[in-house]
Amino acid sequence: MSSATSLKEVFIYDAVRTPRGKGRADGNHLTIRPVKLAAHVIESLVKRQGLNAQTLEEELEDIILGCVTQLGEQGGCIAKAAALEAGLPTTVSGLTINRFCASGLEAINLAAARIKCDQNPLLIAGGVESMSRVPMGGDGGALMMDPHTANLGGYIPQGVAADLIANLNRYGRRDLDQWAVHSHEKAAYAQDQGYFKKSLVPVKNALGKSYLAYDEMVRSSTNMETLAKLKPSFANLAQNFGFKERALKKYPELEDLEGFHHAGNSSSIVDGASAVLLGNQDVGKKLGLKPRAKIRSWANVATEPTIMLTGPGPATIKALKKADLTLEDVDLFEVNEAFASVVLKFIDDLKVPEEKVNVNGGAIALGHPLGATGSMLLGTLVDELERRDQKIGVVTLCIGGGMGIATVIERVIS
Amino acid sequence: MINILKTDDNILTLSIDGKPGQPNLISEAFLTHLETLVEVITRDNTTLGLIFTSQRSDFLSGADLELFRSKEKSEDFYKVSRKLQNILREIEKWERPVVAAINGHALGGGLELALACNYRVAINHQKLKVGLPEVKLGLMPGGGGTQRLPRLIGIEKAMPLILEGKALSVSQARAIGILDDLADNQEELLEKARAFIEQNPHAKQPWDLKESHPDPHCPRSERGYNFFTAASALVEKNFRGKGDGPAKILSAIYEGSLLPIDQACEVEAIYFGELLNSTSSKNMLDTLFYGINKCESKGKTMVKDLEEIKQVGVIGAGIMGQGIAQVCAAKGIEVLLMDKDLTTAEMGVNQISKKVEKEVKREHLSIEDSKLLMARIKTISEYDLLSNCDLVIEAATENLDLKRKIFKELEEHIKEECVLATNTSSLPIQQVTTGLQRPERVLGLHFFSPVPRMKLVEVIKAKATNQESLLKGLKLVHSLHKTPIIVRDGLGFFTTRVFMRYITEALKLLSEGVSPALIENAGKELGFPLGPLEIADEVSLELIKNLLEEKARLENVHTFRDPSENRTREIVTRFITKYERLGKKNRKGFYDYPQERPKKISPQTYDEAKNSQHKEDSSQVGLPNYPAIKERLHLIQMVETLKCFEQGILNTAHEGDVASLLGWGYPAYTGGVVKECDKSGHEDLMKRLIDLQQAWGERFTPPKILKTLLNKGYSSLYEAREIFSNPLLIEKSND
Repeated sequence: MSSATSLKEVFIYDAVRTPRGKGRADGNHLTIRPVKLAAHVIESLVKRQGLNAQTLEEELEDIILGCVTQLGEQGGCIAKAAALEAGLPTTVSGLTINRFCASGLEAINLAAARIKCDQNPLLIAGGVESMSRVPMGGDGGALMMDPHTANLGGYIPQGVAADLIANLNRYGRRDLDQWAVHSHEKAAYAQDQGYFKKSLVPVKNALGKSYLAYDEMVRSSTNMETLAKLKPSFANLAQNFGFKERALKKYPELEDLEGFHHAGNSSSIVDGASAVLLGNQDVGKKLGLKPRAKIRSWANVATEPTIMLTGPGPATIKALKKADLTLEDVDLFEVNEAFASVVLKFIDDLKVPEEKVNVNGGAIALGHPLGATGSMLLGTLVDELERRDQKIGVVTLCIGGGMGIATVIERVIS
Repeated sequence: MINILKTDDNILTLSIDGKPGQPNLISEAFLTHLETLVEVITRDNTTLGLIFTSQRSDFLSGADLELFRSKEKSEDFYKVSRKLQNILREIEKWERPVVAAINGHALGGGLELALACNYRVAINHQKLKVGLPEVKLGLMPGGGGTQRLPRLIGIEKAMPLILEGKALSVSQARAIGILDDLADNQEELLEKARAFIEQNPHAKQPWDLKESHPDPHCPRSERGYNFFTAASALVEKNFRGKGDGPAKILSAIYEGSLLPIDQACEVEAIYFGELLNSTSSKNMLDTLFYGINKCESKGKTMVKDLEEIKQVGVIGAGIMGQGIAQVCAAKGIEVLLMDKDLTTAEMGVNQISKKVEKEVKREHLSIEDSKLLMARIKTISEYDLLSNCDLVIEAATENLDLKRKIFKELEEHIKEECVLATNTSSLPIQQVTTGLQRPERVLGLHFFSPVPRMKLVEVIKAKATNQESLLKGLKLVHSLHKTPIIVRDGLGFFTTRVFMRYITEALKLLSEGVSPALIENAGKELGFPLGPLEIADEVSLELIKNLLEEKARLENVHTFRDPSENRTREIVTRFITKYERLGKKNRKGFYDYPQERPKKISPQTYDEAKNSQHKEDSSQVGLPNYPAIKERLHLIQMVETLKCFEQGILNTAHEGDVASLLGWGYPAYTGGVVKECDKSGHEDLMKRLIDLQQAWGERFTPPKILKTLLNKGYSSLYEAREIFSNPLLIEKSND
């Protein structure tokens, strides 16, 4: 880095997201092309902040999007495609990245790094995933299917790994279902109170009709009885395909690997996109943008790959340390609810009060559009810090392959 | 070696004709000969087609293992593989049709040759087998087998065949698509081969066509991704302890399916080279091929001179008696199956009949042969009907008094030259023969359950047993095509004695408070098919208790000197008498065996650990950690093996290795318990044992023989023959 470059503070100027549509054939976002989903959030952000073409040409070098299943219509660098689809000047470049479930947050951290190093004044980062149109797992991967690699890493499917966490920590079906019910209750309440409105930008078709105005998987009717009816989703994989044995090889204290997770206490499969506008202080002043929060620090970790989903705890601690903060300093945590056991484990590991975690529900109720979730959670967190007039927040996600990520933000109080 | 015949129709027939007295094998010389032939043939434009067949009863039975004997580098093995691959590739790239006319077994490299042909027709003979059995000896196919078979019949069907090394019957091979056609006899076989050549003058392999159909399980689609994701975990689970072969085969299939055939073969050859040079492969080949051969040829020439065994008496129509009767009858021996009354004996025959029917269903036996087999078994309930038997095997329950009573009776009724055997897994023969007039004609034959499937027979020479009787017993084992090891008499002989240590050490761990889950996983992690507590349930807790009591009785003690031995006995007694847990047979042992759910470790077993009052005796080191648990379960078996050498129970290394693999499922990749004693050097073993002794008790005290080995400078028990006891079988010098 040249001596002329100095480190800049990174500000979040705005964040938007689409509602999360059910990621199945009967979902309300099914007919929206993934590139359109991505373009829509970019366009919304640009419009909301009144960024004209000249500004974009001068200040916006790149769009960074997270996307997990980069295949078919989501393949071939969808970020650049989305930049064009959104009608941005042709000078705007695009980068698509994949760090599994953390892709959206990774996009933000990467943008932050570039701004911090004074290589870019302004960037848009976010993510997109249409799980109904491009099903997850469709892109294979050596981690799972290459016998040599899978053997070395001791790969087991994520759901089985979530069950492994539950078995090891003695979370029973009741504990997990309770968290799931709670997630729905919180999300339904937040929806009802309009807490999500600030960031939500529903997608409209060419005739001006909105596809979906809210996150459609949230069900206030979900209760312990309805969940009790659901059968474990991953028991068959664990018992009959050799994954239990693989898990027990690393965790020999277990006799069996009971299946606890099911469709109701795992994140729901959805379609959605989100985008965040990040920049340094100067560009904000120049363009008259109002800073909402700043990015204090971020961290990546990789933990034991078989259990795979225990990264959020250590990632959070690592990121907080970099920001010279303690757990007590944190007002709110957004922990991606990939599976209920992941959140329970996070709370146990860090001994943080449950009341600070996922205050408006999580992916079990709202859905987890893989590549988009990280940036969605960031937006939700900024909104909620503002609403509560609080200061420090952490977004953290577990990641395939045993990785973990966390980003620490601080609200800018004007 | 390969005879060539050119007929008027310009078709060449290559007839494989290997070394006399041996199956047709791919040797170095065979390869070179074939290479030269193929070079000449493929250059000759006048030849319109080629037929591979054989002059012998088999087509081609695979590689001559001598090919691999002197090789010491991965690259050397790789080169052997490449040489065969290249020849086969030349054959299939030749623009004229090539047919495999399979007149006998096509196994391993034999099937690989056939797979490189454009067409495969075989004689429809019940006994003809087709398959790639390499993995069973710790090897893998190296002549393109892992690449051509999946391309021919699909990855999904090919994979289990190669991984399990399963040999198929002709009809199975036809159904699955390995064989294109069947013929009733040799003439029709060659006719069909010619017909194919005439009708397909420019036959090409499907994988050499420009447009090929992708395999639905190729990892280029979601189906393929999921297939291989599950396959790799399943292979780990199903082939635990079986060496590196299965994993390498899976990788070769996976990678090869993403490549053109030439590069795919290269990938196979690299894995082949890596595998054959691996310790696990060398260990397995050593024990499962050379070791077994050695066991089976011991005393062979002496046994040959003995009169055939025509009639055998089997006392006791229980599970063991049934099994012994079945295998004898299967090899043409008349069997008199005796029990206390004819109804009981008949019940035994009914059970045999059911088993035999299953064999027929699986195409292991023809209906005619099954009828002949059953006709050879007759039921009796009177001793005097045994008067014509050449050999009588007592297979009553493991009860010393009962066995003694039977032998007393037998002595009264058998003919002069009849030899008597007791089938027992543990009771010393000398105890059984106490009070007999002629104990010299009694030996032990320890068959394993299920008898038809288990190849090992422990042949026990008691102090009194004479050479003639021992040979007669050996003769029977040879006739049954089973693998004998000859051991000296003593409680538990070799196999039960060592194997029981796996169980009793587990019980000691339990008594110290170690979680049973951890114990079971440790056993499996070592590569055993079952955890020690599972096995305890299988063999029954009563049997374990009896053995421990017999041991105390023989050692003339009420309480063992090693307190952990007493605790072991206490646990077993408590489970039997207090909890009425007898093992799998009453669906309650260390595990519970519910009717419709998988077995689970019983809460009582967990409680046993939880409520344990015992701190380990010799020191206060707390609970052993996982590595220590594994080390104890592992090394205690080595200690007992060394003691068996010391006491002359065992007197060759290969017998110990063979017996451990075939007898109690000792992990195959090790090559056996004796090789494990040698593996990291005796000095290291000594050190590890002393550590264990200090931490966990006297039973880990290094046996004296270890010191002797070190002093005499032997690096391996295989070299240490002279310090072992005298051979149990006095062989002629040329044997």
